[in-house]
Amino acid sequence: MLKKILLFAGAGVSVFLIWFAVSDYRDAGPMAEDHLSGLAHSLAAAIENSAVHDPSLRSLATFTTHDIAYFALIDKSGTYRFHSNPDLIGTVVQDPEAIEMAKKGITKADRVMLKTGEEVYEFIAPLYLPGEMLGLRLTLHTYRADSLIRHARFTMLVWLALLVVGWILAIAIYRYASREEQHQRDMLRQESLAQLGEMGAMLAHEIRNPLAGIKGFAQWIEKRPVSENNREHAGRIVSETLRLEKLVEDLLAYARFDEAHIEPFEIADLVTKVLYLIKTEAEGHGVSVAGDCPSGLIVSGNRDRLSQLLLNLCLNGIQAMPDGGSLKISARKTRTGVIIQVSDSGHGINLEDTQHIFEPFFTTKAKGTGLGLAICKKIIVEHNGSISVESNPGTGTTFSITFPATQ
Amino acid sequence: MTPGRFSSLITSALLLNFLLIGTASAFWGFGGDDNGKSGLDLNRGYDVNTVTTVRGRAVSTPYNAEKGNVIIEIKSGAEIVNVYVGPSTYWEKNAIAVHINDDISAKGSKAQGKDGKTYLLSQKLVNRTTGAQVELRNEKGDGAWTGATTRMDNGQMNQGGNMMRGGGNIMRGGGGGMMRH
Repeated sequence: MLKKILLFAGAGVSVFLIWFAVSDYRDAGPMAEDHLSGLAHSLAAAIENSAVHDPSLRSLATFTTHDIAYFALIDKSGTYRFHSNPDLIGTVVQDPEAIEMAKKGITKADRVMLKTGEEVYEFIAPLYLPGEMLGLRLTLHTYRADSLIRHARFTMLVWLALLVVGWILAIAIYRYASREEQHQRDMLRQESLAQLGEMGAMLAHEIRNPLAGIKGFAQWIEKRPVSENNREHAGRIVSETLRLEKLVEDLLAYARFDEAHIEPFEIADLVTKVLYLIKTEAEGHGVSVAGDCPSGLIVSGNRDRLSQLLLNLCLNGIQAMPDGGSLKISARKTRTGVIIQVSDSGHGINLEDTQHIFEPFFTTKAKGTGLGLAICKKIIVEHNGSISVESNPGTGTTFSITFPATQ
Repeated sequence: MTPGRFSSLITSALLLNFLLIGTASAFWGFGGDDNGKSGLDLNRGYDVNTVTTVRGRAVSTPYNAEKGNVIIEIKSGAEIVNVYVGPSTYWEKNAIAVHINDDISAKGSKAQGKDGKTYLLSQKLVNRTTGAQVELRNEKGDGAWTGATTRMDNGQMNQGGNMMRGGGNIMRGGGGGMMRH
């Protein structure tokens, strides 16, 4: 909710700043025109005053300012009575519109383009001399007046650039904060799991011995029952203690960390061994197994732990095919290391479940401990590798284990 | 998203931002246009209404400004006027000697560029210090480099382009050019 509020606040501030920058820029144009208009009227008044006091108009030749591009006085016959280019004085005006305006005494102001390529502000107005009306054509340079527009443009660009940079930084900070938050969550989770593992291992140790005693007595009763009912009850006790033993073994396996016995070995040997171990179980479920592993692929690790990893994945796959199917272990070299894939043609895993299957005690089975895949992930993480799953419900599942290249 | 990919995206966004600002600045007039920073059509532009004569001291020797146009800076009063004397390909063949502090007189169409500088699209350039002069355009303002006919100081007609080469005391370089008779 807070994130949404901040997002909307940011968007609101951005819109306001864009509006502010654009409106400032849009106001600059009319302000520049007003400035030019005021300047043109002032200069026109000065020219008229000079012309009135000097009917020969010779004094206008000295009337120059940096703002004037050129100016001219046109009489009703369409002749330049005066022009700031003296060569044109007395010549006929080539622009019929200018002649018409001079005749009618029309006032007009607009930006026009000179043949030099310069845009100027052209001001046309009647100029009244004693007994005569002339047309004044005054053109002004626009660079100074347009400094308002240029400044507004620059300001607008700066605002827009700052906004873009600001948003990029905000997104970067948000991403960084999100990652940091996720990292903290992962750390907490890892700590909790580690504590859980230690506790589980401690409990397992405490439970294993009495459990062995219970199982032994139950098996003894099962073999020598006082009554037939006792045989059945003892059988149930034995099966439940076996299940508890499996849980205890899994807990110990999850908590164990065997850093020793790291050695390079051929994956093909490991795959052959695992395929041999699961052969009976697979046949019992009507599952065909196959291996595809080229010789010469070497990984460094604890052979027993990695064997347990592959065994867990294979048994998991076999259990996912109650009506039979096929299971395949393949391995190949990649650019960064070695990848082993365990694929089955079972019922697959739901997308939602794939996000949790490596978490301890997560299970979709009625009698599962939920530790099998968690152990797999722990083993592969201990070997600096990674594990991922790809599954299409109804068509099968593929687990991919990636090992870094052997140094 | 991996950190590397995210960094690449941020970098791309920043680059795109600067590129867009560049485009925008050109669009809004900061970066000039096809006519360079001045925004003036130095080669073909000429407006008889703004024709004037400027006289002053050369504060630069002829140099290649942007787009191969040759400029001489003249200080006239308090104002620096950039006198455009033609494209470099033309000026190299028809130049008159101009040194710093030479007394220069130039007639031509005056304009103010988008960069705020004053330009003179010169029709005739006279170095009063050396007496050399060159006519770069005709009275209509057509540049000699476009093939327009200009008048030499000895009254002969001069066809533009490469035929302007030569010149005795008008043009730089030795005599014997094809325009000398």
